[in-house]
Amino acid sequence: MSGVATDGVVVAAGEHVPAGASPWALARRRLRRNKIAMVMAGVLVIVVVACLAAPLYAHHIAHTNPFQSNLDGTTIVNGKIVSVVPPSTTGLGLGSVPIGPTWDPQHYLLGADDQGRDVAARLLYGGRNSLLIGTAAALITCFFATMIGILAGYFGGPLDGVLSRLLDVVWAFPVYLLAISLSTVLLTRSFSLGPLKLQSGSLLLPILIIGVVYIPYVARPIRGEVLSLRRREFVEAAEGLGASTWRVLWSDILRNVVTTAIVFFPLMLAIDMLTEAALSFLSIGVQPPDASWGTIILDGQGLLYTRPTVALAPGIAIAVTVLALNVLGDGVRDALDPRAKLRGVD
Amino acid sequence: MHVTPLTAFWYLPMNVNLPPFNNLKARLAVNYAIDRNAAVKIFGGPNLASPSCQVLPPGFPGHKDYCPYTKNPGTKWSAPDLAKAKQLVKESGTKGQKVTVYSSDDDVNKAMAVYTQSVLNSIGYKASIKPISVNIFFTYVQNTKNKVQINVQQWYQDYPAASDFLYILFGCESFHPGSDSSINFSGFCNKPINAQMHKALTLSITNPSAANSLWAKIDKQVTDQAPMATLFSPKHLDFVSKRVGNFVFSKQFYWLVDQTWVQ
Repeated sequence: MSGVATDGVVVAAGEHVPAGASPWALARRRLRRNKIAMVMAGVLVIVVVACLAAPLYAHHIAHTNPFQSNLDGTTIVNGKIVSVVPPSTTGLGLGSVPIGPTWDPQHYLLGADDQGRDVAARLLYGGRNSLLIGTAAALITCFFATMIGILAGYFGGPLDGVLSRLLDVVWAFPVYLLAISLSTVLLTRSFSLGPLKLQSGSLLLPILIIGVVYIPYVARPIRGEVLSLRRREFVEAAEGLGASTWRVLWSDILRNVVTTAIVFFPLMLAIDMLTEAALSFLSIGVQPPDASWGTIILDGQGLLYTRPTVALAPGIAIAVTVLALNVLGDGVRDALDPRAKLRGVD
Repeated sequence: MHVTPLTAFWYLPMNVNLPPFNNLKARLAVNYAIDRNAAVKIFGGPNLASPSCQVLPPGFPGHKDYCPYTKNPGTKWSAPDLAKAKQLVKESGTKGQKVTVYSSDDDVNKAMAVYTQSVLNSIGYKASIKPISVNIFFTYVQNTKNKVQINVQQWYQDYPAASDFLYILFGCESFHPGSDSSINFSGFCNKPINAQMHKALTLSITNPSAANSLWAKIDKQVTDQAPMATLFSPKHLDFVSKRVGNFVFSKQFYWLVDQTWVQ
């Protein structure tokens, strides 16, 4: 038996439904019962809070400016004053290797990068940018994908043709190739569209680029769902009773597809963070002196053999955050549509 | 291993026709603020480079040690003078202006640009960096249409004469607005200094020694006008087997392999 859809949240057959519980309350209850998803939500909260506390850590604990080169700086390790980037004394005496992890939060906890900057402080600041770009880009993707999907699916005809072909054009490009092309062009010149003017180093550029390139990946399934919904009895009944188009779109279509967008959000956030890291690693995402987890991995690339922590720390941060988002996203999907789980559909 | 100082220099040309570096005090401020030791460290350490303040590299015809942009001005660079740099920026009225540092996108040049950006921010500018593909960087930063304010640049001798550095890089005839071939990156054209360069060029044919003395004066004058901030003079490293003998190094052609024997 299939469940019934109420406000987009599906109730599974045989599921005990408390009297008076709204579908959203049911979804929250199911999500709370999913222990793995809850653990991952906790991990995400820790990551977000830690990143938000970056200025607190940098200014009050580490007493460092993570955006200022400190090549001739010193710090204290085991009670001794040492250079942050000491010149090499081994082999041919060429180059210099920044200090490694001291495990002392006040003195370069995770060591320094090749500019003598505190890796731990940059990791936290970088996390803020990675999370900000991922979240904003995922919001842009889900919002515009929902709008386009609804308009194309409900009105059909020429509008559907134009919007679908537009999505096809974007979809035809490999995501990374499109993102790299857009980033390369927009980063060498400022972007100007009417009153909107973006400087080449603005964080809004990677946000817009990543947000736009993934719209077809969400808009397509939403359009398909709307195509199915517009033939459902409750939509035809509303239209038969004389409800206006916008009322049908708002009350019957949007409310039923919004759960799909919600399910997509954490998954897109994870994908967007990975894309941001990739673009920043290629020097076409976040621009120095700003940091993101991708730029810190790039900073650590040349230190992989001597100071692997510089690249490993943001790598681990990305892996943990993306894993948490994916598991939480699955949990949200199961909570909003338990039929999928019951059917064994993943 | 053979380490040999090269007749070359790494420097930051500042566009004297664009704000904020159309102001002499702003250019002097950058010179005082740059920590040449930090730049040397980025390049690979003291075994691979020596700090410098002037155009002509050590051991080059016309070179005479000169360094006004240091804590204790004189002949050698010792330490940056951030307080003086900040004061100069304040006096110039350019504080808070936006500056973009261009560099090619290889690791060392980009690291140098990041460091320069950090220095510019520390003395009161709002600096950003633009790493550009090494394939187009050299011509891109020459063209005045691209409005490059400051960039990371290096110059290695083409021939052993002071004119190869001073006249080629800072002579009026090397500045061609709107062209990709305008090797005078700073757009520096000082008529009195340029006249002396012409005099030195002529003199070098009849009296090389007198010409070199004149080039030393020109080097000092150009350094005082600060159309660039010199970072360091690089060294060359040759790693050879113990069985290699008669290693001969030419500043023009580097290791003269045909002079070397192997046991």
